[in-house]
Amino acid sequence: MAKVKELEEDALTIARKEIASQKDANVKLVAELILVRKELAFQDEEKGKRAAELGTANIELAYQKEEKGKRAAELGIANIELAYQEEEKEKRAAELGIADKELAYQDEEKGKRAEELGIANIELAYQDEEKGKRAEELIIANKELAFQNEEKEKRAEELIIANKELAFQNEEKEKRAEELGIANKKLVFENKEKEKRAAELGVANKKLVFENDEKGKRAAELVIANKELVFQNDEKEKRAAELVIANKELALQSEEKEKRAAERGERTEELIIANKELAFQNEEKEKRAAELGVANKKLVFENEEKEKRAAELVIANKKLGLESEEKERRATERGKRAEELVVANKELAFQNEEKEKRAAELVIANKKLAFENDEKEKRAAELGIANKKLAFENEEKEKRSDELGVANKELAFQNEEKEKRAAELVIANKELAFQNDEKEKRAAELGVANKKLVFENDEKEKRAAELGVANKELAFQNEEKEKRAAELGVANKELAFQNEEKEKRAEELSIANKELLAFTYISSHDLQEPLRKIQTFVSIISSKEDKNLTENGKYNFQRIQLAAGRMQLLIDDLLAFSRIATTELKFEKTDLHLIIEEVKAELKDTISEKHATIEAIELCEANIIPFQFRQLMYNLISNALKFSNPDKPSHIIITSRIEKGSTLDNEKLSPGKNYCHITIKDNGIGFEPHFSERIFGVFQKLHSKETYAGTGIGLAIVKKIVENHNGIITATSELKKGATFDIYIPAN
Amino acid sequence: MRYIFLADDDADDCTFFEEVLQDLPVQAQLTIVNDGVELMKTLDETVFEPPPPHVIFLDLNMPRKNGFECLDEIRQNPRFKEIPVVIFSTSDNNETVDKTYNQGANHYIRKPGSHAALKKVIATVLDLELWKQPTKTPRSKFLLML
Repeated sequence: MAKVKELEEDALTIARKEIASQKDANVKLVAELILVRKELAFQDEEKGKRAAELGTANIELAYQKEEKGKRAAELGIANIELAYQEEEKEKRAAELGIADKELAYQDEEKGKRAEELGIANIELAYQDEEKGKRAEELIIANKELAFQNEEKEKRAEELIIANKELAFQNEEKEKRAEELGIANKKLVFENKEKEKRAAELGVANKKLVFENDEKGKRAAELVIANKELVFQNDEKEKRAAELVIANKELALQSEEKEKRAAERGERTEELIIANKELAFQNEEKEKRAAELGVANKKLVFENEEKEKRAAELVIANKKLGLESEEKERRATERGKRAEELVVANKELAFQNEEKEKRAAELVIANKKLAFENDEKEKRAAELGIANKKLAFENEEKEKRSDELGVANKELAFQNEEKEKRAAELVIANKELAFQNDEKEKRAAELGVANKKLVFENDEKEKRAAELGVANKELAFQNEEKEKRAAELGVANKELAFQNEEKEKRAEELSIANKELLAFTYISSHDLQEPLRKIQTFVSIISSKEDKNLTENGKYNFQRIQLAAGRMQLLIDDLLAFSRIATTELKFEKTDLHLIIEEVKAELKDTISEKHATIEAIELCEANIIPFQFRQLMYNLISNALKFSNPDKPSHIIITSRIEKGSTLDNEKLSPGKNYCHITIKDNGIGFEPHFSERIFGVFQKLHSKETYAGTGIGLAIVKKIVENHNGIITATSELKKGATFDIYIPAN
Repeated sequence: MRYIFLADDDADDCTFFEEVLQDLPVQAQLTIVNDGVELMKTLDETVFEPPPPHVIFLDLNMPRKNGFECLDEIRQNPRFKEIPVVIFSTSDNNETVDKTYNQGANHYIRKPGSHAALKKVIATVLDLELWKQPTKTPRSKFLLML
């Protein structure tokens, strides 16, 4: 039993330690899980951010792609325009060998264009750099994502292993709990068995107590019997004393009788013999009586001892009864012992009965002692033997009862210990059951958490895979973009090279043009003064020296005046033309009405002379260089007046409106842009349609200088001004059916 | 009596001007200076005797100090800023006309190519009696056309 207890204790201690260590492990695992979940949540957030950044980056890339496309389209358009301008330049260079004033404009345009291209190239280079950086950042971001995914997979694997371990530990604990449950059931069963035995022992003890009571009664009866025996013995001693007295009297009587016998003779001898025999019998009786007295004293002593023993047995039995009530197990052994006691008691009872019989016999024998001491001796000897046996048996009983007392104390202690153990086991089982419930709950939660984790990991892997695909696509797109950027870079370098070449040429041309224009301007300006003086002196002579001149002289002076006038016109027009090409271009929103009114005021005399009407209708504001546009209007209106039909009054209609390029039937106009469309229509002499281009050339005239004065520069200036406004001008006419000039200037 | 200043380095033009002025039915005293430095010096010295000019005809292209500089100085100086100035130049390009208009000149004449035209334009200027009109000339009437 003690070994079993030790084993159970050891098992409990180990189980508790395991539970404690598992609790610690569980707490650590839960803490780790919380950390892992936090990390996962953080990584999810990071992924979300990264995905958002990637999204933004993709949008930016897409936007840059669009911008590049636009830029490329613009470059394409710019290149087409450049090519177109180059063609135009060549045409103009052919047209105008002397003054490449158009080139000057184109040079400026090229310079601007080149600057724009330069800026565009710098922007492209910047965008390429940005893309490179973005691509590098994306690569780093992808590496980080891949690393995070690996870490997550490792963590997930570790968690799976940890969960398996937990599941295994839970199974082990459940097994242990089941074993403990079985052990407890065994203990409970054993306790029940012990309780049954204790109950049985209680019953047996009650029987023993009852039997002891019975023995006490018997012992009390034996004491009374012994007192009676003592009384009888006293009576016997008195009788023996009386018999001694009687014998002395008899001896006296016998002496008397001897005396008498001596006197009598024969009879006396017989009496002496009879007395000797009596004396011998009396001596024998006295010896026996003394022996009986001793025997009685022993009996009395033995009875007293028995009473004491019986009283002690009663106390011992009472103690046994009390102890038996508390101690309930060992019942079977006790039962056996009790049975043995019962047997012993029965023997005792039997012996007591025997003693009673013997005591009765002794009473009889004592009564008979007076007559039969022989029987008494035998009986006394037998009693002595029986008493010795009784004493021995009592000693045995005492030993047994001592042993039983010790055994009962041990049993009681063991019962208490077992109950304590059972109570502790019950608590331990409850704790185990609670811990098992908690563990099962925890295991269930962990299972759910693991499923979630697995699901989240799957989702993350999917996302990572999608991101990977997206990144590959991005990388591919980046490569494509880089290729395209590289191609564009090459194209740009070629363009830049071509632009440089063009710029060089443009610069050279520009320098040449400037020199030319400066020359033109200075020469024209400086030519004016001597010419004016010639004119003035001629005018003075022809007015003041008129009388001194011959008719031929007068005519020649008139010819000088005319030539000088023509020269002045030429110089003026050349100056105007060169000024148009060299002056700064300042665009302003201007009301065309104002300009036309100014021009009308300037041409007031001619208008009235020609009886002309100028209608300005539907005029809009236009973004123009005001003084140039005034020149343009002046040239066109004065042209219309100059080439008016002499047979009818001149009628000039000027209109302007904003129209879309697509609605205007001219392939040089961009369909998407708005244009200010200005029309100057007259009812003059017009010109043949095939001259519609030629009339815009410098020094191009359709009439002799005699019929229509002019230098042939006026419309060239007009065209130049329209080009300065980035517009185009067309002339349509038929001979004698008037002419229409259409001007298209970009609006805004 | 009209006191008229002509600042012009061209001797012929000065002669033409002088002749035309003599032909005009106006009592005028012409003071001719041949460059800007001389003009400013004369203006400074002749504020009281002779009296300040009724009008200055100012050529632009002159040595030492050109017409633009003179115009600036005249308009900056409180003593001269009210004196009418008529630009008298060979060229009539827009920039120059605009510039002198903004500088505060009263009118702009392009030197004409005939005696008659010159006479007409000087007569026109004198008829305007600019010294009586302190108001600024509108841009559209700044350039005197013949």
